[in-house]
Amino acid sequence: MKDRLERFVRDNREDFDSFEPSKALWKKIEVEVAKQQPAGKRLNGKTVRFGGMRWGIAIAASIGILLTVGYGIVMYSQIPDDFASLNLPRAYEKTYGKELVQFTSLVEQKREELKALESADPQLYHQFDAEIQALEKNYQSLKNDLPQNPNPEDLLKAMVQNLTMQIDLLNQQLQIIQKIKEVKNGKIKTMV
Amino acid sequence: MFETIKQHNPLTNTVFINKHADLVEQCKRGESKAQYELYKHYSKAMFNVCMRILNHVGEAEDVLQDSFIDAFAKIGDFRQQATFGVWLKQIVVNKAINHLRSRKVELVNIDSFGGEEYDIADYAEDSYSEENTKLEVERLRRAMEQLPEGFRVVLSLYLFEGYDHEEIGNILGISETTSRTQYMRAKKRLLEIVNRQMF
Repeated sequence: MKDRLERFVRDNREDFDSFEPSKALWKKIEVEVAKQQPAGKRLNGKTVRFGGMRWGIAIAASIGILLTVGYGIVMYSQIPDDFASLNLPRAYEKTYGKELVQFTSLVEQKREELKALESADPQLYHQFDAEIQALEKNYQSLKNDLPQNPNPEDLLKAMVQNLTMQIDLLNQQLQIIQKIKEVKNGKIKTMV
Repeated sequence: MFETIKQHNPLTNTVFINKHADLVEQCKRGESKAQYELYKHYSKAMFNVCMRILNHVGEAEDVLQDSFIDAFAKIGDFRQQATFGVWLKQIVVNKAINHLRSRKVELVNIDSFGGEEYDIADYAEDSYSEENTKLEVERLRRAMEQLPEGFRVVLSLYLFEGYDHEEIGNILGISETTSRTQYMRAKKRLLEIVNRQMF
C-alpha cells in the first residue's frame, strides 16, 4: 500500500542524492586505512603490486631491514669468533662477552696505531710489540682454559683484566711515542 | 529488507553483486586500488545517507570517512551474504545515528508539533513533467532538511534507505509501533512544509 509520496521517492530515488563528498575525503581515508593495516600484511608482497609510492616504501623498508639484519649478523659474528665457540652460558655471554668484545676491539685499534711506528723506529716497535704479545699469549691461554673450567667467572674476570692491562700498556707506549715525536720536533725546531 | 532495497536502489542487482565481489576480495587482501574503486562507487550514495540523517556537511563527511575506514578494517568479516552496499549502508546508518546521539538531541519529540492537519491525500496529485519532477525533488529535499531530527531520521530510513519499521525500531532502539506512528507524523509534517512552500 504505497502512497503517492512513497511512489514518487521510489521513482526518483537517485535524483535525491544531490550531495557530493569533498574530493579530499578519499585521501584522508586512504591515510587512515594505511595506518591501520598491520605491518606484517604490507610485507607479504601483495600490497606492493601497484603505485610507485608503495614500491619506494617497500624498497626503503627492505634496505632498512637488510641493514639491520646485516649489522646484527656482523655484531653477532664477532661474539662467535671469540666467545660463542667457548660455549659460554648465556648469562656470561651477556655480562662478560660484551666487555671482552669491546676491549678486544680497543686493543686491536691501538695496536694498529702502534704499527705506524714500525717504519719509523722498527727496533722500538718490536720491543713494544713483544710486551703486548706476552700479555696476548696470556690472554689466549686463559681463553683456552675457559671451556673446561667449571667456574668460568674467575677466568672471565682475569681475561677482562688482561685486556685492560693490554690497553693500559698500549696507552703508555703510545704516550712514549708521542713524547719522542715531540722531542724530535723540538730538536728540528732548535736546529732551524 | 533486501526486497525493499532492491526496489529503491538499482545498483544492488546481480551484475553489481558479481562485479563487486571481486573488488571485495581484493580489499580483503588490502589492495588500496580496489578500496578506491569501492569508495568511488559508493561514496556519493552513502554521503547522501549521512546528509539526510545528519543535515550537516562537515559531520556527514566525518561519519562517511569513519564508515569507510571501519568498513575496510572489518571487510574480512563481510561474507557476501548481502551486497557490499547493504553491508556498508548498515555501518553508515549506525555511525550516523550514533553521531546524532552524541549531539545529545532528543530523537523523539513529537508533542511539540501541532500545526494544521493535512491529509496525506492533499499531496498534489497532478502528474509531473520532467521539469516539475526536478522541482518537486528539490522541494521535498528542502522540506526534509526543515524536519525536526526525530522525524527526519525515521522518514529517511523508511522512505529513502528502504528499511522496514521493525529494522528501524532495532536501529533506533524504539518499538516497531513507535517507528510507524513516528513515520506517519513525519510524513504529515513534511507535506505541511511542502505545501507551505508551494503557496
